[in-house]
Amino acid sequence: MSERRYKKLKTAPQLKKLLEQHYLAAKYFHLGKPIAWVTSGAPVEIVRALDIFPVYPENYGALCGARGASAAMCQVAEARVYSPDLCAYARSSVGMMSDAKHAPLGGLPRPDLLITCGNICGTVLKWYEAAARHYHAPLFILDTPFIHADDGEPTAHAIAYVAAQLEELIAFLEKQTRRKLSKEKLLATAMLSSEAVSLWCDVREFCRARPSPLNAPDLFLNMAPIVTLRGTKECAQFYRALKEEIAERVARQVSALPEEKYRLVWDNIAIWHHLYRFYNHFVDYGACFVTDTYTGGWAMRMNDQGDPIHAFARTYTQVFLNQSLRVRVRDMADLITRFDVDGFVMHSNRSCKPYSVGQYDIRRIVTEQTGKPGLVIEADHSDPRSYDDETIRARIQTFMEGLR
Amino acid sequence: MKNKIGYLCTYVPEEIIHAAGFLPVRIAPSTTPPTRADAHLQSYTCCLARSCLDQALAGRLNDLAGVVFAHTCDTMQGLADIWRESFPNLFVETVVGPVALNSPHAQKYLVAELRRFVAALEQHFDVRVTEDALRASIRIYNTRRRALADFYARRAEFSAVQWFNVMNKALTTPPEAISDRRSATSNQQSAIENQKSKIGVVLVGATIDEPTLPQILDDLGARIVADDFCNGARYFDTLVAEEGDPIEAIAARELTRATCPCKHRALDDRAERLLKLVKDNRADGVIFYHKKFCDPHAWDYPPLAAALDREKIPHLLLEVEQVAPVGQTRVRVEAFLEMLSEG
Amino acid sequence: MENMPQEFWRWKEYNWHAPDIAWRNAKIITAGVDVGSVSTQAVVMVDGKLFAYANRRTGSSSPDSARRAMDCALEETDLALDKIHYVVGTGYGRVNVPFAHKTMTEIACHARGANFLYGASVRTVLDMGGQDCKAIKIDAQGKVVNFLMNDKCAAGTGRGLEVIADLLQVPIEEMGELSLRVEKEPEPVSSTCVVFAKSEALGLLRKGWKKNDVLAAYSRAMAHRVAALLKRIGIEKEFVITGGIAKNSGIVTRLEKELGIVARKPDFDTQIAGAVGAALIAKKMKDER
Repeated sequence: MSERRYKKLKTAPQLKKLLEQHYLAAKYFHLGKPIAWVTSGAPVEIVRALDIFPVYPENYGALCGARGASAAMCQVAEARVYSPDLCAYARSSVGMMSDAKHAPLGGLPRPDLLITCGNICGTVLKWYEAAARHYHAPLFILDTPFIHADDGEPTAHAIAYVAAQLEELIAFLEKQTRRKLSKEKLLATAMLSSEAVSLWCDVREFCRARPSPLNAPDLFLNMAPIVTLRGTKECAQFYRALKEEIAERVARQVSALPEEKYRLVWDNIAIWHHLYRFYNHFVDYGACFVTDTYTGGWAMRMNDQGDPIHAFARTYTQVFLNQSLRVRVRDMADLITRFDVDGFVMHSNRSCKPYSVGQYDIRRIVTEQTGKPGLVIEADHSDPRSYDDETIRARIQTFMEGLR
Repeated sequence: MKNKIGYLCTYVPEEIIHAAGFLPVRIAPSTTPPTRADAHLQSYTCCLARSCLDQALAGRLNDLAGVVFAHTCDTMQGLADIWRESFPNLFVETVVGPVALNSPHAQKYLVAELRRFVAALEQHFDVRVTEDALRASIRIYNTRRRALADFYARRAEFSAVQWFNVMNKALTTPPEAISDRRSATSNQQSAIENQKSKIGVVLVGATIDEPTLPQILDDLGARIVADDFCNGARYFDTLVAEEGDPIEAIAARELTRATCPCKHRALDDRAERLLKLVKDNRADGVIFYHKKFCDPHAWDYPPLAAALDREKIPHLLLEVEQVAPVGQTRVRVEAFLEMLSEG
Repeated sequence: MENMPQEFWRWKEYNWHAPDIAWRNAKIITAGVDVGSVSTQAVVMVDGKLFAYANRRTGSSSPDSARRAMDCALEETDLALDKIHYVVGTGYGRVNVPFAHKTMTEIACHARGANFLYGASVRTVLDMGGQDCKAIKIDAQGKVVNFLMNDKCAAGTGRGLEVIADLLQVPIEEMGELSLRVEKEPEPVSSTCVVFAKSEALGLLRKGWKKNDVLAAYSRAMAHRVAALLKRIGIEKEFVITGGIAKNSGIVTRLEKELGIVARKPDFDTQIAGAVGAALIAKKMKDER
């Protein structure tokens, strides 16, 4: 196992404890709260406001990847005739369903409810259908129409559709929990969520500093609470501490890397199974990933004008993976300018088609617009069997030599 | 003026395109391996996406005035945007239909989305899509769907290759050309020798675009008794109501036709439909004809296979990239048929 | 012929016959010919008993390969081809056996052959052939209940083994034993594709790996790939392996370890199972006429 070769964060133990407690509570101390499996793009504030305990199979997929348990879990699913070409998060999750004993943390807790939201991909629909069949748990599908518009604005009828479904989701959850949603509690949760998101945005913005206080793996690891604990006090508390630490690093010009010579942008989900080994290849050249498109996905500020349901509808429909290629180009070009980088690296991720299909064109257009070179690397976010270190190292070398 | 508009998926409302004065034609993968598409699509995308884009990049679709997508899977979603970047002057639109077909709000949303599509067509081509034109187009397409259904009812008289030819011709010719069974099967001599074949199979998959498998089935004396292809029975299994608001009627059909695995109506409706197809047609087995890297169908395979296993219905999975390799496909199909005839 | 380079991939061709069977008194004489992509076997049965067989390398022409294998099987007997009542062709070249009355796939034939050679308790057959690999579930009569074949690729096949034998200059018949003679079991090669595995094996040699370790790493990858196929179909006892690779103890041992199930060991040549099945099916077809 490779070690990180750059500066550790003081808040790291706090992060570790926070996540351990989350998974422990999910498994043993959810205090009679019903367990809901939710996708990373689901409106969790509504779920929390009804005292439902949300757990995130996608985060668990990343955890399996980081702990080197993905391949074994995927193989369990493949033996149950799931195709090895399907998303490895989903495959390891399906593997975990039928063999929790051998899964990390003894598997996720059994869901009482399933809430899937299509704003990140089509896979989560099929994945949650499989979970619903396996656990006989009720499934709610929040259908968020994809936005092909250049300006990234959803159509009025799409907003109305999503808003109507959110009302339905509330009714569904109220019926399942035999509780009434308190508008005050929903607003309070949304406030906590907004606070954390806002702090996370600030942390990310700090990385515009030269040298950057953080490298991509820091961003990947520290995004876990914004996904899995958004809307809780602990989450906001953690990001306050993190922000404080990063602000101090910036003030003292502390660099994440021993020496920052190059600044890069990362695109797509992390390569969890070779996290340090992979990014160390860049550390070798003094290249720091100062920002990325992935962890920024959960830095969307809640649109708080008017009716909260409409604000939720708009925010959750506009998630970056629900946006067209042109918006992705715009966002990438924007990061390149604002973070003043030398180039960008795109992870062509076999497991994630919505994030990866179109990358070749995005790379071409972004380079045309910004003059910055881009590198595409083929791998997988959690299945190590699709990772070839030799080939990847050679590609990185060629790319880095071109930057000099 | 170019008068054809291409589409890849049968969720695209062809009646609307037709009523705007265009001929909707299905773009199908060819049998040549893609080369130009490799610069735009990763090797882990399906041949449907890769081959169709490749043909466009090779200039073989230059007679199209536009290409219309329907929102289905992640690859098609990305392909629509890539197509738009590759052909900036072409009319490229996506009808983003609902995924949750069982949502009580899906119909209302889809109607609004279809009206947006109508407006986009009208604006881009400076045409008017009138209610009368929509009604006329609905009637024409219903007639074609009925003709194909009628052909299906008599499919025992035809070989698998003939079935393939009829279905593939249907979606690329003017709809008026197919108004009854006879016009559907013109140039197709009824294959009498096929009647003696005993084993009947149901085919399941996204689309079938080249005749290797039908040819093998013919050679081995098996019959296709039913199918669940996007460009097969799923295309004509439901008609559009000819009364009431035409857009509402088109939307209603999309929500009720046999489900594509990219959509959700109920957890087990595809399995129930498949079992019904097997029973109603007294099929001996099921052949899944899947495209490599087609996620939605790959996802539905385990539950469908389990449903068949529970009913003790044998099945075979074929995973094909673009053209089914003859030798390998044949040995699998032949062994499967041997297994069925022994049972 | 001292200058002839040694062909490490090449295995020995051979024939066998039962001298004590009097075919002239037989009710029915049948034969099965299995024309595989790498090897061809001909089996002759007299009233359902093994009478003669041969195993030869497949040439560029299937009809010639079939004829050569049959001639070789009959070579030391006084039986002639025209005395055989019914012949079934199987394998990849099955439609090109000029003297066959009927063809059957190798899947049905291996199922039937395994049932005959190992007995009625066999439920799972793994046929590791030259060009592909099949997992077959069978019933007590040797009928196919379900089957799976690996995808179109030489990894996990006899042809793949030949490539590695040649690359490492190890006689193919010794590969299995050598691969087991390692101090510590290495990690499997990561690539399952023959072309990539070849370059990966070369890389390992350059890094100073011993031949046996490279063989072990390759055999393990191959066993792993085949195990996935068996897990997908669901393995049931009793489990047997047919085909040429069943003779490679390095792969069989590793496969058994990964699956946690022991394959029944044969007391006959596993490569003839398909042709035996074909000869038995020929008998059944003739009987039913």
